[in-house]
Amino acid sequence: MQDLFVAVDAVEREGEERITTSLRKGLLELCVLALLARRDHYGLELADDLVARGLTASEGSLYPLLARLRDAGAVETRWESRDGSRPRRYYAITPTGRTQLAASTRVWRQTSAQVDELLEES
Amino acid sequence: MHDPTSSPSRSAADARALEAHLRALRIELADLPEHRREEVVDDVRAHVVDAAESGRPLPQVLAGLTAPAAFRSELGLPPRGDGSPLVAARVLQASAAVVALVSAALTLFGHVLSSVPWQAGTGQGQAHDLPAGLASGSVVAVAPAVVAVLAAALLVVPRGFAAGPGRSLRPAAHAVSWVCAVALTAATLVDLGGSGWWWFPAALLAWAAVVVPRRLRRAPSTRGTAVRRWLRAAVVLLPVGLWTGAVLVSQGLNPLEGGRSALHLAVVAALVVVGVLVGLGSRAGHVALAAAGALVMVLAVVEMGMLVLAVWWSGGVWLLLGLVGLVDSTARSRRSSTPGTPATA
Repeated sequence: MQDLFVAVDAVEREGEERITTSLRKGLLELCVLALLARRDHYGLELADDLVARGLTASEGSLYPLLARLRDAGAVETRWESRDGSRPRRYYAITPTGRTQLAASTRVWRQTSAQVDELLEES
Repeated sequence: MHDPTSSPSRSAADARALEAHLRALRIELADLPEHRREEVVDDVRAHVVDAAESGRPLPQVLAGLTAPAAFRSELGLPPRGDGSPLVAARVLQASAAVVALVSAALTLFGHVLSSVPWQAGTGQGQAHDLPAGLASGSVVAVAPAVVAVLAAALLVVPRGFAAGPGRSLRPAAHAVSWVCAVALTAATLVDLGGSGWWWFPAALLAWAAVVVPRRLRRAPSTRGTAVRRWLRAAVVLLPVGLWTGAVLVSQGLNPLEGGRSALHLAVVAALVVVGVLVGLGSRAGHVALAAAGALVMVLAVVEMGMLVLAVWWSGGVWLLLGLVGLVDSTARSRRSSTPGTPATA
C-alpha cells in the first residue's frame, strides 16, 4: 500500500514538473526582457538570476531564447570589460525589445487576470 | 573577436571538452548564416568560461547546456538530415551531365559523318559539306546536353539553390532533375534508330538523380537494401560468367594458354572481386565498379568496334550501379554516425 502512495506521489510530482516547465517556457521570454529592461546583464548573471527566482530550471535553455530574441532584433550583444576585468558578453534590450516587452506585459496581465477569475469560479 | 577561452586556469581537458561541444553546435547549426552561428557559439562559450571561472566544474556546466540538436529545435529550425539525398542528387546529376556531353559529341560526330557525301572509290568527303552536317546534328546533340549541364550546374554550384534547411534537397532542385531526365529521355527516343541510343546511359543517370534522392529520404528496409546490393552484384557477375564461358569455349580448357587468356583471367578475377564487394556493400567496391564503367565507356568511344553501343551501354550501366551503390553506402555510413537518423543495411 505504501508503494502505491509513493508511486502516486511520484506521478503527481512528475506531472507538476511537466506543467511548471511548460508554463515557464512560454513566460521565459517575457522574464528575460523584463530583467534586461532594468539593466544589461552578461549571460551567466542572467541565467543565475532566472534560476534564483525559480523561473527556469536549466540555465542552458536561456541561450536558444537569447539567440531567437537577437534574431528578432529585441536584444543585442556586445563584449565589454568592466573595472579592468576580463571582457564579458553583455546582453541589452533594444527599442524593439522594449516594445515587445510592453505588448507581452499587457497580454500577460490580461491573461493572468482572466485565468485567475476562471480558477476562482471553479 | 575576443576569445575568452584563453584563460590559463582551465585545464587542457576542459578546453577540449568545451571545443568538442562548440564543434557539435557548429555542425548542428551549419545551415545558419555564419555570423548568426558564430554569435550563438560566442554566447555559449562566454557562459561556459564565466561559469568555470566562478568555480563550477566544467562537466557540470556542459551538462547544463542545451544539447546541440535541441538547440537547433529551440531556434525553430527543422531537424537536420544527413544530407544524403542532396549528395546523391549532385553526384548523379553531375555524372549525367558529363555522360551527356560525350553523348552530344558522339551524336554530332555521327551527324557530320552521315551528312558528308562519300565519293565513290576515294573514300573522301567534301569539306564544305561539314557545316550542313553540324547544323543538322546540333539541335538534337546540343540541346539535351545544355539542359543536362545547366541542371548539374544549378544543383552543384549555387549552394542555396539545391540545399534547403537542414541539408535537405529543395523541391526546386528535384524539379530541375525531372526536367533533365525528361530531356535526356526525349533525346534517346527522338532518334531511336540512330544516334538516340548514345543518350541511353545519360538518361539512366538522370532518372537515378530523380529516384535515388527520393528513396534516401525514406527510412529504408534492411532487406530491401540487401536485395538491391546483390542485384547490383549480379549485374557485374553475370557478364563475367558469360565472358568466362565464351573464353573457355573459344580457347579450350586451358585459360592460361597465351598472354591474352591470362589477361582475360585477370580481368575476370578482378570483376569477381568487385562483384562480391558490391554485394557486401563495400564503398571501395562501388567506387571500383563506377571507375570500371567509366573506363569501359571511354574504351567504347576510343575503339569504336562492332559492338560499340553494347559496350557503351554496359559501361553506362556499371557506372550507374557503382554511383548508386556509392551514394547508398555513403548514406549508410553518415546515418550510422548521425544519431536519430535511420540506418540502411
